[in-house]
Amino acid sequence: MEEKKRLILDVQNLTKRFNNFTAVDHVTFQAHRGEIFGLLGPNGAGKTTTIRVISTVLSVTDGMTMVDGFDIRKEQEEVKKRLGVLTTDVGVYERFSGRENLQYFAALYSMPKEKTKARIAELSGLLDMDEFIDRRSGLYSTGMKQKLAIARSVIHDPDLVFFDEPTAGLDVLAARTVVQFMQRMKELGKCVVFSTHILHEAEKLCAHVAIIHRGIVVGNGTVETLKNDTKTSNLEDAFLALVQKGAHA
Amino acid sequence: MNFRTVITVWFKEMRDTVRDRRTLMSMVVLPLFLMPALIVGLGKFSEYQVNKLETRTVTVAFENAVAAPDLVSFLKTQDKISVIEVSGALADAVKADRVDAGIVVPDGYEQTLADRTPITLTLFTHSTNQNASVVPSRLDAAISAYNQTVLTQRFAVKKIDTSILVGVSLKTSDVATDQEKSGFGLGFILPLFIVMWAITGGQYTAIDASAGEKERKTIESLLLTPVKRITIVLGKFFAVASTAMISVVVSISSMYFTMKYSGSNIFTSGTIASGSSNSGVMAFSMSIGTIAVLIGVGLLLVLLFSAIMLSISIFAKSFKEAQSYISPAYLVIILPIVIFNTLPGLKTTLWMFALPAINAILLFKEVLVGTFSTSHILVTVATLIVCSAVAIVVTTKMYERENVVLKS
Ligand SMILES: Nc1ncnc2c1ncn2[C@@H]1O[C@H](COP(=O)(O)OP(=O)(O)O)[C@@H](O)[C@H]1O
Ligand SMILES: [Mg+2]
Repeated sequence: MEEKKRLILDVQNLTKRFNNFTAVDHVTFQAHRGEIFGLLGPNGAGKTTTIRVISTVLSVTDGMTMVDGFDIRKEQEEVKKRLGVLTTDVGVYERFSGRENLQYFAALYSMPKEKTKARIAELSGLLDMDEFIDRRSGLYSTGMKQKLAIARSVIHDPDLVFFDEPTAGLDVLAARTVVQFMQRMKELGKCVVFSTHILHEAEKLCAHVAIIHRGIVVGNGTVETLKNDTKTSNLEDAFLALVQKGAHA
Repeated sequence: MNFRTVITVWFKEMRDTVRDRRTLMSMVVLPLFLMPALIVGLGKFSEYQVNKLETRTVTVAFENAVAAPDLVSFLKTQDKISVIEVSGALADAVKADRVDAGIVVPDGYEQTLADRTPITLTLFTHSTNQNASVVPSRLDAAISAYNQTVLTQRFAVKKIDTSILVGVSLKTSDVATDQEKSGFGLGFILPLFIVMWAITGGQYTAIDASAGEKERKTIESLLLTPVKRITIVLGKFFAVASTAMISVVVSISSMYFTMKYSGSNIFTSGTIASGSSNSGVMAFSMSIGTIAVLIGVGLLLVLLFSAIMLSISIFAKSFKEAQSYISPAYLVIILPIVIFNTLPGLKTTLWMFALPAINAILLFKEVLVGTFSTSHILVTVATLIVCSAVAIVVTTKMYERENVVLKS
């Protein structure tokens, strides 16, 4: 019963084909509130495509996926209201200030003005953006842009947040901010799906992970069971063992 | 579709446009200053060209000049004609543009003249010579005048009054009204400009709002919001249409004031409107009704072109790529318009007013001259509304295609 209440993302046999190429092939996993779930795999594995299909930016070819009880095939508007995505490429409207960027997205999520104001203040404090939030975002450093993009992805306070390769191209300090933010979201009872190809980063943060290789889930479970099952001592070795097993099977 | 969100998107794109110097430039500054400058400049230039030709001196050389000393000395007295000597064959000298015209005098000229037998002089001209257009008329006039003196002498011998030479003559009176005359010149240039600004005025906004979102990687965040595609498209579409409409209105007004205060003679003298040949300043007038039709139909054109520009530029991944798609599209649209605009003496029929964009050109011309019919306006308006609606639906379909919007 408790487990059921915590379940927010239920992916069953999710499949996405581009013409004749199957980018995501019968992917199945579940993620819960109050955890950081690792969606792992090398470049080109199908992580971004999986996220795009779940967030209904791309249409689904086959399979069944529920976001907080809403079907991604039929209730796209409800699904979109309930999730946020930090995309790999973080573009911002460069002729707008950080605040104006956030205000625009809040309006697109139909948030009332007062709530928007409070939410921006909250996120700005949380992400340490007060100093530059009213400056033109075209002049931001990579780290500042990343913070703005994070704030934008959760402006509507969703319960499910995807972070797609959020530390790529960031320096150590900026990467730490991202990691801390993910942990903070988890503490707040949100479900964070952390998509990355850097397995040792995921090992530190995630209890549950799904490992994708060429669109197929080759491993799914807690980090501990994956390591035990493959008789390895870290996630990277576990991944290699799983891929090899997949190739033999 | 949520109308409030349409306004949110519209407002954001307008703000983005206004903050971009490039878009501001093409929306306001260019139509405001460039076009009047071009028109006045062009008018002055053609005036200058015409004047220059009229005041230019034509050079003439003779072959066998000794046979007709009278004729030669008469021509020497003529204004803007200068008789010169050239070496070598006369035809070659004309061909080499060493002289504008050459006249060959036949042997026994004086005797033939005395016998009152008609004489034919051969005139060499070179049609690629820069003075070629004035040579025949200038020499025709001179030879006529010379003939007059010859005839006067002959009549004097017979004691006949030369006034019997005058029979019937023509005096021209143009029945075109001032509106028709200024409308004729305006009808040539104003419709083209309205179409031009309807397309180019919103071009930057169209590219910025579609290909620009892709280039700056903001489009995915936009697609992640629960806003319907049609809402996004309409917001962007109204922004493109707004900027284009601003430049149409700016260009019409700046041309209106340019002509009001610089004198509209730039269209009636010179070569642009050769149909109304009398020159000089005339009262420039455009009624409120005319302006209303120009702006109203201009708005419909703007809606059509905005949707087309937006649907083309969403296919591009970058600003540059979008421009390379729009340039040929611009030519495809503008070419038939230019052709219809310049067809001389085109008789319009109702079906022509069902051709989108071309109908606007034809209607603008009629309205400017003051000879329009209600059916023409109705067919034009209906056609443009239907086409714009179709274009918006098509654009929305483009935005709904994931391989178009998320192409990378
Ligand atoms: N729109 C698309 N059309 C065709 N193929 C695509 C498209 N998007 C992604 N792919 C392909 O799908 C595979 C998975 O890509 P992606 O989901 O981006 O992987 P990851 O995010 O794990 O690096 C890749 O081979 C990629 O080339
Ligand atoms: Mg990816």
